[in-house]
Amino acid sequence: MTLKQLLPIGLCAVGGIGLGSALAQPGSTAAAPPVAAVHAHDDGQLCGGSHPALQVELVPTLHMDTDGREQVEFSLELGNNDDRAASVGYAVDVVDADGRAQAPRKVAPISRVASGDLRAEAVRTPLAGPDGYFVARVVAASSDGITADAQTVEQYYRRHNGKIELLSANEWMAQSGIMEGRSLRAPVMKSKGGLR
Amino acid sequence: MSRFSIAIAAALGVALAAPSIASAKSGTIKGRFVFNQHNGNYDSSTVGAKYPKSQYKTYRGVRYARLSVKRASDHKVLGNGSTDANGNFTVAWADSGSGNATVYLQWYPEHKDGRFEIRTTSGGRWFFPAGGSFTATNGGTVDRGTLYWGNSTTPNTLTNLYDAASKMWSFSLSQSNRMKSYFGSKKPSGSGATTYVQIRAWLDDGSCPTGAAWGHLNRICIPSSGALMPQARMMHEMGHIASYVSNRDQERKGAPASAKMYEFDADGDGNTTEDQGWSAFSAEWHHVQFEEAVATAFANVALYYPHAADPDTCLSAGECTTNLETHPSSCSSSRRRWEISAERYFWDVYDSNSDYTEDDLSQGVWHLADTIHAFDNGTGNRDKDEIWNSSYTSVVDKNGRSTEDFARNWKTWGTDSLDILTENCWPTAAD
Repeated sequence: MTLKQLLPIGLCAVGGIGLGSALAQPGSTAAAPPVAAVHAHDDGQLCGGSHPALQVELVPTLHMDTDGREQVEFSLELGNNDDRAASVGYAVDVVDADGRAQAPRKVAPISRVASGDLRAEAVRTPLAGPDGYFVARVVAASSDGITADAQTVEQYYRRHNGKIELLSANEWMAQSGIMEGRSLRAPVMKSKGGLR
Repeated sequence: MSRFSIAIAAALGVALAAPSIASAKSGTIKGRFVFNQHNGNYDSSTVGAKYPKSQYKTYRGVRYARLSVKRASDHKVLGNGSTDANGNFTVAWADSGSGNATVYLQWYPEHKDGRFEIRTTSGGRWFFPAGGSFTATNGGTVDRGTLYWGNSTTPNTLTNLYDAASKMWSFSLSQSNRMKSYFGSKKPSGSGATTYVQIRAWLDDGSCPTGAAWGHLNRICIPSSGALMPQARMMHEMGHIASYVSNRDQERKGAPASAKMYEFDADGDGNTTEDQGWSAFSAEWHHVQFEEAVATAFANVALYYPHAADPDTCLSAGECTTNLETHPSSCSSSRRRWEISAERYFWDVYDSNSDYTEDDLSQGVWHLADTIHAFDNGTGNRDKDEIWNSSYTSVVDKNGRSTEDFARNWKTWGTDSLDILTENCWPTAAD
């Protein structure tokens, strides 16, 4: 079995850029004047980056209501796309937009993942906590004895009155306040809303 | 006003305190913008690393970014400026009226000279509010101190993406006069193209899983999974644009998806569906091997000086460990098609370390751009569009426009790197 037999199909079929929704929130302005959509068959398209040997994904799988509070369970999927077995380790952090830890860091012991295997682990967000914006971050590292990779994968969410809303990377950038510069000499100054 | 004053004013041609003349106010604002550096691909070696590990997870200056001073009441722009290499700025502002002004600052992930701009998924502008509104002193200078983005536990990935792009320009591409002339300064022919290189982040709708570049649009897409991996993502895609604009007339005809350029039948079983995509260690058509290696070769210059002791390459948010100086004792047919083999050739012609007798070149990054420019227009052997038939209706030679073509064209122009290509698994069947 070759390396690429293990890879997802169609990763080079790029198209549709330019059709995304415009953001009009703090941190971004509305779209520039419309541009033509780009399709996979356009001349001049260059297939992009290489494919990772270690596929790391955080897939939200479950919302659980407990006394009106919600929790998200992510399925952490570690796929070995390499054609050799690899040693894989990872750590999970849940922090808020200011970097404050919301739960103790979880560090998984290093284990062997066979070529082509997919390993899945459950990662849950803290059940209790303040309202705010949070990120579940996985740093995974792998080595097959020849090459070594490290990847960071993040999933973003907002907790409001105990309810959880998953956020895209763009929503996280625009809503969480992380776009706003902070002076470390003075209290944090919030300037959300309306700045153009 | 006394008759004496009036007489003086008349003599000088100046109207004193005339009600019809609007008053004005102005001043300057200075400060520094920094972000927490979380990009991977730093280097533990202290010899020849442009991005040493000591910078990782420390605050670094926001380099050469545009910024604006805006009036708080109505967001009118009162002044524009840019940061320097360390994130410092001094920007002048001016407004009508008297007294002080209430203003705020914001910066944009856009290169000061307009070479590239980080944009939203739909092409809108990103901006970074810099600390809320404050009083700007009329006739004076206000020092805003240092403003911070991200911290050691939560990076701002967009500032890191901007830093990767900024380094790519400052530490690699700008060293080529051809890039100074054409990278982000000439609008290509595609519909909707921009003059600057537009980098759309974060495109997570599934259409951009690994990042991509469109030379005829000056456009790049980066998904959020590509954050913090500059060498194989942000810098690599900018390398594709650099390669594209290096061509004669700053363009070439790219292959359509139907040509299946990224489906080399590695095991010869007739099924290429299983071969989609590429990695540094997978067998590819020699055209793909060349184009992907060139893109990362531009990136490698952004990360390492020619005398680097431990130059590495990888797709990783950490430190790379795949050494660019490795040379195998033997080359399998598959290895002759690996991207890493071509990437190591490009490293050897750039670096100043002699790893073997024939490793006697040390050429600036300009040679990459200029030798690509040496490919003649046309579809013949070693021409710019060799992959196409003569009528440009069909892709007929996926091994065309290869690393060997590069080396042979370079030799025609006076530099012989063929021995170095041999040491890095000569791409058989690539001429």
